[in-house]
Amino acid sequence: MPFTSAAFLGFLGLVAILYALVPRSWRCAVVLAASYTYYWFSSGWFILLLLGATLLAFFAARAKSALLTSVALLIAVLVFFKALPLAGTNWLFPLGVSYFTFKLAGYLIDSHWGEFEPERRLLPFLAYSSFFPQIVGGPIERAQSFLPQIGRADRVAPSTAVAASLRIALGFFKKFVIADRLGEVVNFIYAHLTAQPGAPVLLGFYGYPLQMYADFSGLTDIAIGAGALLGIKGPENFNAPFSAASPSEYWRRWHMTLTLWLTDYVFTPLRMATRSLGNVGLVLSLLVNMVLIGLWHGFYWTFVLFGVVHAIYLSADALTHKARRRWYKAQPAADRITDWVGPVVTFHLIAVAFVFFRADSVATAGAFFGHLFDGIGALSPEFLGIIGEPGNFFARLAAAYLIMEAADAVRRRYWSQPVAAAVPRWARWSLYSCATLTVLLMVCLLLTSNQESSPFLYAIF
Amino acid sequence: MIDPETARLRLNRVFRDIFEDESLEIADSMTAADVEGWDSLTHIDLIVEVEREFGIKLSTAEVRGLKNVGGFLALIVQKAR
Repeated sequence: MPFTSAAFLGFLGLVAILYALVPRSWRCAVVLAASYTYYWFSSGWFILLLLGATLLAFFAARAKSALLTSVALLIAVLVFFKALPLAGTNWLFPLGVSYFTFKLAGYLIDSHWGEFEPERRLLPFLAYSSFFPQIVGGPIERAQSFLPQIGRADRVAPSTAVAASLRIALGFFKKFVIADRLGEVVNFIYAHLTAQPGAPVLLGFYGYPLQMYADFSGLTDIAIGAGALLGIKGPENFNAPFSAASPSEYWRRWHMTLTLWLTDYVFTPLRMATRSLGNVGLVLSLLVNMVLIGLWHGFYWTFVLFGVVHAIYLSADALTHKARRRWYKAQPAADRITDWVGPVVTFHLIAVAFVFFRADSVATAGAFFGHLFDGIGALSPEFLGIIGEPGNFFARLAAAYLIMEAADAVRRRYWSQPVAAAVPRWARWSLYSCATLTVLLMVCLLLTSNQESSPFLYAIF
Repeated sequence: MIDPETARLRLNRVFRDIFEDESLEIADSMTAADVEGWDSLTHIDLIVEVEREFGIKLSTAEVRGLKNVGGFLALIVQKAR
């Protein structure tokens, strides 16, 4: 039941209505039952793995014993399933194993550090690790944020429900209109690198980061929107990442919940342990942290290289930071220029790293860079078959991208305080009607369209 | 026993050095969000400098548990006994 199916929207709508109708004390049970139902239909008997991992974390934290052994066990489970493809096995992959093991491991490490009293009630904790809006592709919410919310089981205000529905619609727009369309182009380019290209490889270079952003932030919008319909305000995962003026700022804006998780549980402890080594310790900690971010996506050399490239960026950024800052203080004009140039340079650095992320082998990545400036003049009929009239394609893509960025800007401004609550009744009802129509239109399109959306890129990790 | 007010002055000097801002005034309620350049990287620089300045050793759990500058100062005073 992928998020972009009519079945999922029907399921979510049903659960949200049930959540609204039952007494407050039953709401947690509704969320839990829905989550395990969703998991059962997605991954079958792996539901026992999810249950077992959750029980392990719950009882280890309560008993305050074997905390780090339990963390090691959870990570071993994750490593096992990530390593399976290397053995050439054709096993199914438990949905969300990368996400629920990280949620539970974080909870155990926080308990080990004595950050909070362990949860005493089993049901909310079971709902935490299995929460279906977050199981496919995050965000990786912390227990300290989730458990009080599911405990309160707040009624969902109409204005919140409207904002949540619009946010889900935005996710659909990002996925169907931008990510899937760009995906066709990027896939074609990566599949025809060594043959006579007939497609500008450079388009793949710029297209893939944008595709990834539209795809993954779209998935996150649906996840956060769906969560909000069940009284859970999940953490944000993206904050205009391509406006970042440096690689370190980029990581504070891209897949933020994963970055924060690794900063808390890997980078900071490692950096504390290596702090007497000075800059060597800094570079070493960054390297381990970024390679682990790469490996979290899968055990392939391309992901290792992705991590290494980012570690080089971050190390160069950190080691020259003070000198640059002093220089810019003395050169205010240069500082102003950098405000504009910084995001452009950063985007190109990020795009280089994304080539390793996207390529199916190191050799493919090499071929990609080798052919980067090929095929700009002559477009093959096959490629034209995908994009249609080029001018038209780029105009529509640019328009869709602008709509996405504008909608995201509005979303960032109003998500925490839905605008509906502050406006007069007539405007509120217009907004409700528009939102209802949008959702109905979305469902109709899904039911009538015979074109299947491709799976979300981050649903496979 | 270190006097809290002296500790505050010395901590303020460390903050000014690390974040290269001579006008920076620390306050108990201050967090990383309030200081430009205070991120997970400079945080460790700050810890190292505080350890050197006050002759103390901090653990990862202690560093993780810090909520604001006030808490940091209290920890320093307690450790520097």
